[in-house]
Parts: sequence; structure tokens; C-alpha cells
Amino acid sequence: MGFPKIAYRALEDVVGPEFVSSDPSICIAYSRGGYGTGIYDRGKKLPGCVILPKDTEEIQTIVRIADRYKIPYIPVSTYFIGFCTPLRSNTLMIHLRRMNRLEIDEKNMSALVQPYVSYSQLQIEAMKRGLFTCATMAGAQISVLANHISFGQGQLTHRLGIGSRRILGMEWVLPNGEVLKTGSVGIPGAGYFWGEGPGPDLRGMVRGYSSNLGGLGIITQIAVKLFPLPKPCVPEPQGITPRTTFALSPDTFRWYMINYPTPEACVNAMYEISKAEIGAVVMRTPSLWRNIRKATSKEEFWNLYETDKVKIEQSKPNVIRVLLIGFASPKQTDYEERVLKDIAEETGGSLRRVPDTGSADCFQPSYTNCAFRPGGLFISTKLGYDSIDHALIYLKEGMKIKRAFMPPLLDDKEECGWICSYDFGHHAHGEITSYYELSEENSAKVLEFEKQCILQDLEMKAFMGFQYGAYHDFTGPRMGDYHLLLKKIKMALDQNDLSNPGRFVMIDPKKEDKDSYYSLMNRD
Amino acid sequence: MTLENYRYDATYCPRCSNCKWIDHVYMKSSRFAMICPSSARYLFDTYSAQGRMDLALALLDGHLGWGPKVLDAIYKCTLCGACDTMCKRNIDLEILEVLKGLREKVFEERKELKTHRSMVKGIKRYDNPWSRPRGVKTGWREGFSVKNVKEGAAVLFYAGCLPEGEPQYRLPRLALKILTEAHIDLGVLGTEEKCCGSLSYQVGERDVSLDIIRKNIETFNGLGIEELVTSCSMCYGMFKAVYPAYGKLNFKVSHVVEYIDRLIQDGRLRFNKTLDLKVTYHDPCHLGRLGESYVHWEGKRTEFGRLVPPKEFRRGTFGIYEPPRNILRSIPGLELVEMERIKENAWCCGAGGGVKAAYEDFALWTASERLEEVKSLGVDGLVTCCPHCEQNLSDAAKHNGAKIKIHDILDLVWAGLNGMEV
Amino acid sequence: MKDILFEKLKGICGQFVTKDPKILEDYSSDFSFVPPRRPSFVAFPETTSEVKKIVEIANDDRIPVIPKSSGMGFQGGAIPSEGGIVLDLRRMNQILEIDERNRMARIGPGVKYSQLKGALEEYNLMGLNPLLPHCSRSVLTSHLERDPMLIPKFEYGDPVLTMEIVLPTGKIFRTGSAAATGSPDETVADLVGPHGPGLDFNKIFQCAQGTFGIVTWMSIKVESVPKIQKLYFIPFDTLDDAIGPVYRIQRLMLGNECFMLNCTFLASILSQGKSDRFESLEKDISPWTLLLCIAGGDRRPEEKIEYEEEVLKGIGLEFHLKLSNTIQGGQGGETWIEEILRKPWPEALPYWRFAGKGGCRVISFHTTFDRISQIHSAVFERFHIPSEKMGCYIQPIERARACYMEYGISYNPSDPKEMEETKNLEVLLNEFLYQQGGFFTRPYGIQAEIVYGRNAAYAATLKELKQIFDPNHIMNPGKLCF
Repeated sequence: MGFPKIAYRALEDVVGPEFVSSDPSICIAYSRGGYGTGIYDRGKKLPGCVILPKDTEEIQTIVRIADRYKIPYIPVSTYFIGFCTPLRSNTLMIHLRRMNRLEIDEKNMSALVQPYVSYSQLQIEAMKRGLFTCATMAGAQISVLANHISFGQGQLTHRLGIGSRRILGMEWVLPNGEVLKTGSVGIPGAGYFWGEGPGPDLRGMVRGYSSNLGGLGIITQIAVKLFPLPKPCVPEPQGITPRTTFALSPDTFRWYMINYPTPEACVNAMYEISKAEIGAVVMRTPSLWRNIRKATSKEEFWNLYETDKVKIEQSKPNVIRVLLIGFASPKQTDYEERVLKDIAEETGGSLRRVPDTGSADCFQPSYTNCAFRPGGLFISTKLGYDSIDHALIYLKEGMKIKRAFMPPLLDDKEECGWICSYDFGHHAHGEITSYYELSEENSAKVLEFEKQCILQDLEMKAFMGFQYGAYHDFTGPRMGDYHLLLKKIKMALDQNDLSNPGRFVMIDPKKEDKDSYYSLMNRD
Repeated sequence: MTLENYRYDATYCPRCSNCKWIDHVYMKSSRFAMICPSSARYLFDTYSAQGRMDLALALLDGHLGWGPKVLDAIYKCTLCGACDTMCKRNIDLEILEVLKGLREKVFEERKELKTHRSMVKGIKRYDNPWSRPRGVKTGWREGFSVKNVKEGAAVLFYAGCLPEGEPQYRLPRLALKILTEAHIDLGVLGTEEKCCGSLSYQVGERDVSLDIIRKNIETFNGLGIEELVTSCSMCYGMFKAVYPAYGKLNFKVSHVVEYIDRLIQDGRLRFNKTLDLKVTYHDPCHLGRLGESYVHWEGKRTEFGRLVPPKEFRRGTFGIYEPPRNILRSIPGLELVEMERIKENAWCCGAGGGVKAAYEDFALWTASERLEEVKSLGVDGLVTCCPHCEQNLSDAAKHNGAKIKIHDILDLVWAGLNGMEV
Repeated sequence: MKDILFEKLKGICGQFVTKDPKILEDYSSDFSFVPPRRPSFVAFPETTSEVKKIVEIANDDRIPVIPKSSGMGFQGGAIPSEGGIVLDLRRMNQILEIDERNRMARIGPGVKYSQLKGALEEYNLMGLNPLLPHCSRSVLTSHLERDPMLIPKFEYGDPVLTMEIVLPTGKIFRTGSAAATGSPDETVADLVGPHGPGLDFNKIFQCAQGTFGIVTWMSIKVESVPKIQKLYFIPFDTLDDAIGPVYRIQRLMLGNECFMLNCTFLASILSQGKSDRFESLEKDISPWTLLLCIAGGDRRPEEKIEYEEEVLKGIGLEFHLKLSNTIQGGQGGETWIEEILRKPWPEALPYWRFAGKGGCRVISFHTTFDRISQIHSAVFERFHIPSEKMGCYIQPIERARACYMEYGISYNPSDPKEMEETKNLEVLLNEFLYQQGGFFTRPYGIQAEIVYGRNAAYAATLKELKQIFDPNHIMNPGKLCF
């Protein structure tokens, strides 16, 4: 049965015929995510309809129509992650493409953004005004809003914190069509400058370490924090594709690599750097990533990989990447450099300065599809969020599981994975990224690998912060039954389970879910 | 190559949306941040490269039938190659080949648009896409003496298909006047000049296109020339990037801007006049990111999609970006002010891919967007070096009442040589 | 029934439960104007298990429960609206853990600032304190209620990490990485990840005035004590003059503690409870003083101070500031400030907010720093409150991206007429501030009526959540919008 005509006509009345379509050739482009292909999008359905609203009022009406006719819907913007793929028939994809408002409050260092503003757009406008945003590792083309309410890991989190720390006021269309304004937004004329409260902070319902995956309505605009550069700074790009980059003034921006013999030594250094309150980027990077960035083609990558893998196995490099920024003055950069050298020496690290063109990858990253350079697909597992030590522990254990799944996973010769510092080392997230080729058989193995990683975390009593909807039913009972609270919240705010059903938390598995990511994770 | 050959590329599209934006490193404002006209205009993701990858897979697997919306999504695309270039900055996927493959499939299954069908018929019958008599190709030569290349010449000047009565009709004449001033030994094919086949190729028609290509290769190879020079970027793109796939060319292919740049560097052309003008330059797609030479590759895919033997991907790196800029910078008094989206990041003029014929409103919209970018610079004029770009941008300026003059670079070169008014 | 309940409570807490009317009277009011209401019982549990058992009983019998950890209150948050059991958590005063490596402390609700400071000093660590909290202020409650930190240089204005909560149903719930299996003692997590599980539940419990559950421990960020520091006191005649410099200082990330006081509040602090000294100081101190602490880092502290001072001097020249290490008109009070800056107010002295007349109504809100002068002028023009009666504290938050602004209206608590006038003023002033765009992020009393009355969707959503967490509505009923 196709998308209900009566609902379609109602939607057409809202946005006009030009901005809604149930044609399969339109819907087909909304049926597949990129990251998580073959895993998160298992059991996917072809959407029934796609609509392009222009403002909050239209979204309210659309949500009410969906509620009236019991039509599931999914809000999407730049749509990179496979959790946006529909699991229910006749899902309405609410594509927020037309909502691209961007306003910067330079004095109070914030930006008001709607869903279709990319990091690169925000970054360049911010930099002209002497400000910057913490661009995500997922890439400069990603929606600022979607990323802040979902993940928000970027290189600069050592100083700037994770995405949720950077959200100020929000406007949110609830599944009942009401507009919820959080923080100062609820005060007429006050604007978006502050996000907490009033009273209990409902931003807590938007995400934890990761997102509610559009399961509690649609966020239509938010203010995000911006951060000060020492002075307005429009970077001068250099080079021609594929080797484009920019450097920022070395008086103020300096990049370093510190090599350690063991991951433990690496982690100790990260703690010392954090305690010294220096640095803007502090992270342990997997060796594979360096080859991904160095290469400008898949072949070049594989040549580097083949050359390096023996070296890596023998020397086991553990590298911390550091960016120092002289926010107050170039003397701050000098000071922090001296401190960094002290730390490197004390902790047995070998420090070297690296080209300042690393700034392009930091401020305008092209990581997403750069991460696909080796070919195949990749998956991130073991995404815990606690301390730097905790990251090391569960990552090292996780590598043992990973080895058991090689192949189909590429052997990257890693001892642990990516460890990224947040809030001056008060927290860290760790992640193992693994490459594999797409096939039914491989996807099944990768799913099993992911599940084993989670089970291992539960067994070893680690905290796997990245709880996706598919895990809650088997992690919840071991973690204070939080999953029951999630279900109650879902049912309270979205009683018909229409807002991206089956993703935030599974309320009512249907027959059509039997091959979905959720069902496969919860089998056995 | 058929669409099936590029199934891997469509499958492994990571849906990252990079195909919609300019290289982020080169972004100068949020206003002029996008690079895909189709996606910017039609908004639904199907109108982006990543959406078309999904279309391709669905058509290949029989999950989607042919309908007006499918053709709409396929053909409301100027095939400017921006998506391909942006994607290839980071990974090795042949996005543009998938888009071309989709069009080929349309023709294979005889679902082509009426307008394109007529255009191809015109090319087949009259050697031009406007179904005008063959003589129209030589009308611009009236009163201008140039030998037939068969009399023997080092350089073949290829005029391309220019509609009679249109302002662009002046361009081959200008080019020849300039090259003659430099005493270049050149000739033309006159009425024997066939269409390069670009437009029929771009819309996906293969039989007529390949017939034209092979015949042209045979003809050109038989002329004993050292170099083919053209003033049309679309023709240039065909000769450079497509023709060698179907036969070896025993001559060099150049755009007239490359040639003129060389002449200036060698001191064989000198500007005598000062032009007190502030202009900006628009990079034609087929000269820029699509103007790289064809690279032959034959092989297979192995693990992780590695190609054996390794393939050299065309990423837009070696397009013709500097020669026109060199020319403009060497004209005394002329100030070149760059737009935000330039070189491999250039926003398409809107004319290519069969869009001008089938979707005039989209073509004008795209050109209008480019003119907005020009407006923000406060310049006297926009310069390009492709008659299709010039025509579409001029049409848009007229349509919008924009007071911006559109020049071909040859106008400014000639004015710089002879003091003619521009 | 009351007797049965009392026996049940005694069965849990032993002697540490009372229904003595005199003691109940003490819990019926605080320094706010909230109408006094007595609880039925006060219990003093010592462990989470005791709290859990009490809550379970209360939940079964639908008896209100009001958690209280601080010795005194300014906002009426722990005054029962409908009787019930006040849980005084003072006995849960263990410092459960100090993790030097991760710069974290885990504390029970009964831990006070002086106790924590002493424990942290051993590790050369310090808490992220608010301004001179009352000696009986619970550190946990202070963080739960989002008391603004004195140090705005961090991008986190919220040092809360993980929490253990007894939910209104009696279930024990832990937030963030404390949700890991085996928490808190057997998990490999260090209990420093604030996010999750699933959603950021910790945000729901903050500024909830105990309406969603009882926090039985909390882990918080702590930081290194600066090895050396220099205090600067920058006088301003008007708030307008301060706006540019503060933005610049914060934009360049200079200094640790950074806040402003008007002459009244600064005099209150410097006078140390002596009213004659208060009067003379209040006249001599400049109308506004910005306090900025330039602090040396953990390493090479002198070098850090050197470059920061150089930048500060540049700002001073640009804005024609008087950069001084002494307080203009402060009669040598800078020594006192240096001594107490990171401490709670000494127990032996009358609380500084009460200097002047002995009573003080605190009215606070958030705004952007560029509006402080406009708002302050508007308040003065509308209400004509004499400056000696109105203290003002302005705290830049998260690099002056916003600021916390607090008025302390002093009054004589022994004068009923003055009390009534102050009460009326409180209502009018709060309404006025709201109209000026002031945001009550932690709405107490009348503020709650104002904000929730005009943000229906927020109130409705909170009620939905309340129904989930506290289906029998036992937790501190009558607060916020419940």
C-alpha cells in the first residue's frame, strides 16, 4: 500500500507541490545511509514520501499531520549516518534542506543555526569575525545542528568539550506538534544565549554521549558556542585538488607529534598535558590515519600501508598529536611549547614539530570521506566515554576481539585505537575504527564484532558510552535499567512511536524488523 | 563503458554530501558555499550526485522503473563534474562516469527526452545541435581570408558549432585574427568541419556520438597537423578527455587560451593598449576540471576495491586554470578580481549536459546564481572562454536585467592588441 | 498512621529521626519569604541504603519527601509545601574518593566546602567554587543547583560529572559512566564521564530542587591550585565602562577567577560583619570593582603570569584601566580577599550577604554581558533602590558568553514592615527583570511562576518527565511547576 493520498494532499497544502514528493525516484535517495551501510540500515524500507519544510511552523503542521494519520517520520539534514534510514513502511522523510539560517553574535560568541548549515559555512563566517567552531571529525560538510545534538567529536575537544557542552538555547518541535524552547529562548526577546533550564535542563533529553536519533521530535534551530581566535583570521588556502590545505600563523598555531614506546606512556603524557592546561588538540592517533591523510589516492594509501605495516609491528608507535594555540598572544604559544617540551622529556616522548597545514584538517576537515580512502567501509566500535585511562583499558581489550575478526577486518597493527581528550583531560573517548569490504557475510561478521565489543565492555565492567537504540535492551538491565526510563520517555513524548521509530529505543518490534540492526543485535 | 561497470562506485558512495559543497578549505563565505547547481536548485537529494548513485543502483537492479521524475533527476544536471572533483579530493570513485552511465542507459532503453532526441537528430543530419543548415558553420568567415587546412597547415583551428546570428558567432573570427597577428600557420575545415559530438555525448547518446568521434579522429589524423586549437571549451573537453578513449590522436589539442598564453610568454604577442577595466574570470567546466587529458586504464578490482594495475584518476588537478589568468594579468590596465568559487571549485554556468536545450529555466537559474557572485565583486565585466558559458550567462543577465557585461577573453585580447572598445 | 510511619523511619535510621516540634519548626522556614510549613518528620540518614528504604516507604504511602543538604537556605527549596519527611543529608558527609590523576572528587551530599577544601589541599587541588558560599552550604547541592563558578575560563561552566540518585520509586540510578556495571567500586570506569546512559539524565536532576530524586553522591571536577597568583582589582565608575574590558579579558582567556561586585557587596565582604566598617567601606570603594586572578599554571607558573600580565597591561592601556593589586578604597582588604577567595565564608563571622541590615533577598538571573548596564540602569530607574540596600554581583560565565547577575536586597528581618516591602519588591523586581530579558535558569519561588507560566511547553514536558520519575508525586511537591 502506498503513501496515504489523504496525508499527501494535506502535506502538499502545507509546503506546496514543489516541496513534497512520493515518487519512488525521489524517495530512493533517502533509503540508504553512508556510515553504517549494511549494518545500521539493515531492514531498511523505501521511504513513502519526502517533504522539504521551510520553517518551524511548517514542521509543526507536518508533525501533526503525521500524528493524525499515524505516519512515521524521520528528520534528516546532511544525512550521513545510517540511522536515518527508515525501518517502517511509508515513512515520511522530513528533509530540512531549506532551513539554512545562520546568524553570528560576535560579541557573545555564539551562532544561531538551522539544520542545513554546514560546519564549513559556519567556520568561515566565524573565522572572519575572529571566532571558530569545533568542527567535527565527521567532516566539514556535516550539519552543525545535527552534529551538536548527536555526536560532536572534533579534534579541538581537549579545550572545547563534546557537542552537548556547546549547545545553548534550542527550539524543538515535539512529536505532539508543540514547540519547546529551552533555556533563554523561552523568554521573549532574550534570544538563544543560554541553554540551561529553566530548572531541570531538557537538553538532557536530546542526547547522552550520543543522540536520541530523532526519536523525540525535531530540533529546528539551536545556538552553538563559538570560540575566540586571537584575531580575525581568514585562512589562505593553498594548492589544488587533491592537495589543498591551509596553514595558520605559526606564531599562534603550532602542531606537534610526540612518539611514545607504549600506549601507557602516551596516556601518561596526555594526563600531564591536561593537568598543565595547555593545548587545544590532544589525541592519540592510530597509525593508519596518518597514512590515510598522507595519501592522495587509494593506491598511495595501500603502498604506504604495505610499507609501514612491518615497521608498525616492530616499533609499535604511539603518537600523540598536539595543537597549541596562543589565544592570548604569541607568547602563550611559546610558553605552551616550552611546557610541552618539558612534558615530552619527562615522559620519555620524542617530540617533533609538524607542518602547520594540519590546521586545515582541524578547522575544515574532510575526514568523512577521507576516512573511506582505503576502500571498503569502516565501523567504529568501543566508543566509551570516561577517563583517558579507561579508554586505554577497554581499547586494548577491544583489540583482542578485533584480532579474532581479522579477516574480514583489515589488520591495522594497532595496539589500541583513537583516544581523544575532552575538557582538559577530564574525560576522554576512545574508539577503534575497523575497515572491511561490503558483503552479506562480512556485514554479519562485523555486526557480531560490534556485539562482542559491547558484551566485553559489560563483562569487564567498562562504560560504553555510545549506546545506540539497538543496544539498550541488553545493556539496560546491566546498567540500572536505564532502558526502561528511555522507553517511558519515548512513550510520554511520542505515544504513537512515529518519530524515527525503532532507533532511539525499540518500543514495539514488528515483524518487518526481524532483519533489522535491532533484531540482529538482540538475537540470543 | 556502461553503467554496470560503475556499480562499485555507486555502491561505495559514502553519502557524505561532499559532492554538494566546494572544497571546504577554499570556502570563503557561507553564501557561495555550494558547488552543485542541481542540488542547490531542486533540493531533494535525488538531485545530488549521491542521490543519483542511489538512482543508478535502483535502475540497475530493477527496483525502479522509468518515469518522468527519473529522467528529471538524471537530466537536471549540467554534468559539470564538480561532484566528481570534490569527491575525488578524498576518495577514488568515478562519480561522473555513473552520471554519464545513467544517461547512456536512458538512450539504450529509448527513454530519452524529446528535446535531446531532436538535438541528436540535428547533430547527425546537420553537424550542429540546432538543426541549422551546414553552411551556418562557415558564415563567420565572411570577408575573412583563411586557408583550408587541407592545403597544409601546422595548426587546425576548430570553430565548433555556433548558431548563426548569435553574438558568439564572432569568436572564431576573433581567434583567427589574433592568431593571424602572430603569424601562425593555420587552416580551417570550413564546411567540412563536423560537430565534435559533445552535446550528443553528454546527453548519453552513444551511437551517433561514437560515429562522429571516430570519423573526426580519422579526419584530423589525416590532416598532417601538429596541433588542433579551438575557442570552444566544450569542444576542447571532448577532444582532450573523450576522443583518446576511442582512438589515438597524432596531434596536440589546445584551447586558444593556452595557445595565446604561450604566444605571450614567447613574446610573439604584445599588448599595445591599456584597458581600464576591472573584471572577473569564470572557469568553464570543460576547460577546467573536465579539461584534463584522458588516461587510459584497463584492469580489474581486487580487495578493498584496489585497481590492478593502479589507475591514475583524473581529479581536475591539471585543468586549464592559469593560462586565461596569465593572459588577463598581462593586459595593461586590466585588474582581475577573483570570485569565491574558482578553478576546480568553479560554479557551472548552467549550459552543459543538455540542460540549455531541455531546461532553459534551470540553465538560467544556474547562470543567475553565478551572476550573484559576480555582483558581489563590483566589477565591470565577467570574462570567460567558452561560447556556451558566454551565451548562457548573457541570457541570464538579460533575463534578470543585470548590468554586467559578459566577455569572451578573445574580446579583451583583441582590444588589448588593437585598442578596440569592449 | 503517623506513629506507624515514625516507627518505620526509626527502624531505618534508629535515633536519627525526629518529630520534635521544636526541631520541625527549624525546618519550616529559611531566609526566603516562602510561607513557613512544617514537615511531619525529619530524618537524618547516613547511607544510600537508608535513603532508599525511606523513599520506598514514602512512595508506598504517598508521603512527600524533601531532601535537604545545606544547613541554611535562601530560596525556600527545602521548605515542605505539603508536610512530609525532610531528609537532612548532613550525615552523608563522606568524601568518598579523590582521584588526583583524573582531577575528580566524589562526595556525599553532606560535604561542606571547608571539609572538601581541606581534603583537596593534600593533593594540591581545589574545587570550582561559587562566591564565598555559606559555611553550611553543601558542595553537592551547590553544584546541583548550578551555582556559578568564579572561574569563567573553562568551556565547561558545569563541573558535575556523575551522580548516584535514589529515584522517587526507591530505585538507585547512576548517571554518566557511573552507570557502568559494578559501579562505583568494581567498575573499571573512573566515574568521570557525565553523559548517558542513553540520555543526559544528570541534566534532569540539576536545578530540580529535589523534585526528581535524591542525589546520594556526586563526582565533580576539581582543578590544580595555582602555584602562584596575583589578584587584580580594577575599579569602574559605571558598568558601561566594564563591558569592553571584561569581554576582552575573557576573549583572550586571561586569568582564573573573574567577577564583579558593586561597592555594597564588596563592602559586605571586606567589613567581615562589622557594620561601622561596612558603612565607611561602602562609601569609599569605587561603585564597581572587577576582581581578576592571574594565576600561574601547574608548570612554569612565573612564565604564564608574565605573558598574561603583559596582555592585561595592554588591555589596561587600551581601555584606560587602573590595574591595581589593591582595592581602591578597600582599606587593605585585598589581603582578606586573597585569604578567603576559594573558601566558604567563615562560620565565626556573620554571613557577608547579611551585612548591612541582617537580612538579604537574593534575586538572580542570567543575561548577556553587554546588557548588564542597560538592565541595571533600568532597575535603578524603576525601583530607586538605594545602593547601600542593594548588593550586586556579576559573574561572567564560560568566557563571558553569558553572565550571572545577582541582586542582594538587604532588609531588617526584625522589621515586619520592611520585610513586607522587601517581599513585594521581590515580586515586582523579578517580573521586571523577566520583562528586561533576564533569564531565570534556576527558578525559585515567584520566578518559577513567571517562567513556567509563560513557557507552557517546557512546563508540560517537565510534567511528563515528572510523571515518569515520580509517578506518585512524592518528591518535594509544590516546587518548580509541580
